[in-house]
Amino acid sequence: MKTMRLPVLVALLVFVTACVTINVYFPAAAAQEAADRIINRVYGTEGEGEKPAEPAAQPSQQPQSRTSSAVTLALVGTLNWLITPAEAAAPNIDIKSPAIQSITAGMEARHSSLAAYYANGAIGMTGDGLIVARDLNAIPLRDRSKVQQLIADENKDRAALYNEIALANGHPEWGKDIRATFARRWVANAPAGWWYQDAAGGWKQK
Amino acid sequence: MTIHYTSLCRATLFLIAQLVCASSYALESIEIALGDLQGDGWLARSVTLQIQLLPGTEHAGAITLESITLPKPIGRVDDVRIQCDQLTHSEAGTACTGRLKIAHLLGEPISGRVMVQHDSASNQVQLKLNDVGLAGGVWQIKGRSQAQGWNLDLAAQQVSGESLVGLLRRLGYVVEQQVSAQLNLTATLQGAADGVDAVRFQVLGEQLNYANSVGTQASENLNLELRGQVQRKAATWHAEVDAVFGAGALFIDPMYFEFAKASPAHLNVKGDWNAGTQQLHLQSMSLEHAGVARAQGELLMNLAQPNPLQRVTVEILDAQLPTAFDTYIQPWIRGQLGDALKTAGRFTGRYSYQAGADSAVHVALDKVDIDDPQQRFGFENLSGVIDWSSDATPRVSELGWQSGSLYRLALGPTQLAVKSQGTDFELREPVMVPLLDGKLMIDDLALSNPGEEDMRWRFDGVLTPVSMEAVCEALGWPAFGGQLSGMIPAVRYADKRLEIGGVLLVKAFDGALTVRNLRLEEPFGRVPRLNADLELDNLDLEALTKTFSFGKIQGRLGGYVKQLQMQAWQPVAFDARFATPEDDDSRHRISQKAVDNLSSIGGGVGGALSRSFLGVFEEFPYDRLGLSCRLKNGVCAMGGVAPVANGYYIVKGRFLPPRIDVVGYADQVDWHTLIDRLKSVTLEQGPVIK
Repeated sequence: MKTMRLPVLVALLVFVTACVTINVYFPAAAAQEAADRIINRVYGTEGEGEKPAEPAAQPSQQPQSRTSSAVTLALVGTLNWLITPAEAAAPNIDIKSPAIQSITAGMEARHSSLAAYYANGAIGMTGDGLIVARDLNAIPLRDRSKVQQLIADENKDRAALYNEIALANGHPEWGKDIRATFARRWVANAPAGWWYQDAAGGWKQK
Repeated sequence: MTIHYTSLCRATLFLIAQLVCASSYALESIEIALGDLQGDGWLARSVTLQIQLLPGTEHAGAITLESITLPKPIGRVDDVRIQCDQLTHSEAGTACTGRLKIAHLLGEPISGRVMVQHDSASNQVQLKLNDVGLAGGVWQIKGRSQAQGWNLDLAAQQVSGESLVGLLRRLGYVVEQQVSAQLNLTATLQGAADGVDAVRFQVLGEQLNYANSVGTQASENLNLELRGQVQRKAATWHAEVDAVFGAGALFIDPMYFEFAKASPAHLNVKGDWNAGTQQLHLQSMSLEHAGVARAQGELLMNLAQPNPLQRVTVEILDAQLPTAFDTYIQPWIRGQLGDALKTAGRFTGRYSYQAGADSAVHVALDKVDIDDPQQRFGFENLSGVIDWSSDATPRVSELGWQSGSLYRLALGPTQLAVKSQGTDFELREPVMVPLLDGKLMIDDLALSNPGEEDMRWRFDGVLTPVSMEAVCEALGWPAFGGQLSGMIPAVRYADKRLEIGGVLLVKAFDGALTVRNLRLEEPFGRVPRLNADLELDNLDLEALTKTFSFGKIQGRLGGYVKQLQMQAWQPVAFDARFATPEDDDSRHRISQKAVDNLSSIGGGVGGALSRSFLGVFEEFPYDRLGLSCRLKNGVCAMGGVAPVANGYYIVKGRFLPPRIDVVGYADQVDWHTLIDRLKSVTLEQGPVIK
């Protein structure tokens, strides 16, 4: 009987140790770099303290295609197909999907209407990566309704953006981490004088 | 010396009367230090009375107080002096006419002309204060008190709103708003010992700037005329208020109004407020907003109920667009489809709501134009009647338009009738909508829960042939011949997803393009997603290449784009293959220019062929041509019609000379680069393919 028990115990032990939670690694550094790229595009500060966005397309030295004349043997001239060979997918956060591009373009266009209100404290950045009207009295009466609409639109786009980045990278569950990354980077990339919410929910001026 | 009296006024008058009586003793002047006087809730310190006795009934005198402390909210008043230049006393009564001077009342020095009169027969006390400076303005105050009650007339010119608010704050009222204004006001108050019974008032406010602390209510340079009266009967207050907004701007979140002399707004409200039952009943509300809207209504609210709104009816007598939409509708649909509509025309309408019962809407549109700035839809000359109720009785709305557009495709004149029952809407009978030069027959169209998260709709129809030329023109594509038609038997929209059953058929280039399994997610959202399967059958390459100025290619082309996925109208994935059909026996020729272009698209040197001796040939025969691309993650996996060592044939030549082969070697190609190359070729030589 004792000899029977040992394998059972071993099996149990194996079973127990096999119950390991699978941790999906969230590429925090890559996410931050991706967030900075998008944020700088939205803020219109591309190229400021930012790494080159993408490696420039390198013309391939090798002919990729050619036209040949089989009968005459005379060379027509090699037609170089210079289409950039696709780069191997690097382990980073992909932000090139049309959905992300489209949302980012919309936010970039909107930013010029909002920038003045970030600067005068009418709009503040919240701790969850959105924006909020923190002082309506700092917005001219005529624009008060419109700016609130822009804020609502911006927040809709931001929520969609975080979601789309997670989706485009095949990890819908990253949405929360991406949002948290953006929440930090919106503030970090903002010019001095803009208002943001600290961890306790209080307002601070950068 | 401490004397208790119910009012300082009466004490003064009593003393004056006693002293004036003493004049028969031929005293010329008398000064009495009364010390402190105290009454119910008040305390006067160092009261001094001074009388100068003149011959006859007219005398002069003064009363001074070092301070008087009155009940809250007024508090301590310092250095009060009433100078009676004329002091009369007779059997009929006593009167004092002179000047009032107070060094410190609610933080302000006060001075003005004063007249106090006591009538013996009626025991009526009358007080007049003229030209009193208070809150930056000049006040005329007239008060009368008698056994039946009291009344008070106030008139003030050039009162500063800021000072008035300061005064109210010092009186203990919480006024969080920032206010600045020039006010002229008159008011008549009537009351008895237990308080105010009736108020009649008129306030003319100019340059009224006001803001609450959170900025949801504010005005800028507003000119406001407010007239009204308020009466109390037992616990019920009845009010009638008339307001004219003559100039300036007003923001009441989310609505913004701008008024001018030419477009004032006139608001009249009559109603009752019962403090006991907490019921507010506005029997009539009427609004005349020049150039915008005319409306009237009724409102019943009970603030004691958890859901205070009991009943409301609004009758829109006339609404002019775009002003009425921009002012009264747009702010409420912010962030929804149609919040930026450009509108024109007029409408009238009626809305009613009864708590626990039904609500109903009736709108009559009169030549209304609506236009979506994003060009997703638009209608011109929209007329008809929308009749809707939340009850179970079916209603019919009838609408018609002269012209319209859907995604830039022009719609012709249409009349339709819609049956509604609650939040379900359905087309009453089939409708024919002219679409470009064809017709869209709508057999069935139904909509549920519009505007809600769970909005659903379905559509069944047939598209009779529309010329592709018209479609291309509308969509800004290079023009090509052919026809678009289709059975669209089952379009379903649910969970923000549009699915099209059936087949869309484009007959073009002497062949056919069929679209199947078309599915559109969030069609009106920021990122519309499209899925579809396309099939190309037997297209004439000569017509195709001519249209896109690509260089002549003769022959036929077939193929497919399977599992096409688009985001924001950009392809993200598909499996595509275009090639000469297997059984094609048509004439196969490719021009020098087409070969050059095929090379150029790939980034090759354009015109290389023409510079060689093969340049003497205008065109070449070919056996087969074709390309395939499997797009995924921005990379196109390329292929051709047949494999060759390390590559694939894009054009495979005939055996007979002059033979030309185009061979591709790049099997992984960046999609954006491919598109840019394609664009630049067509940009140089013809229309741009977008």
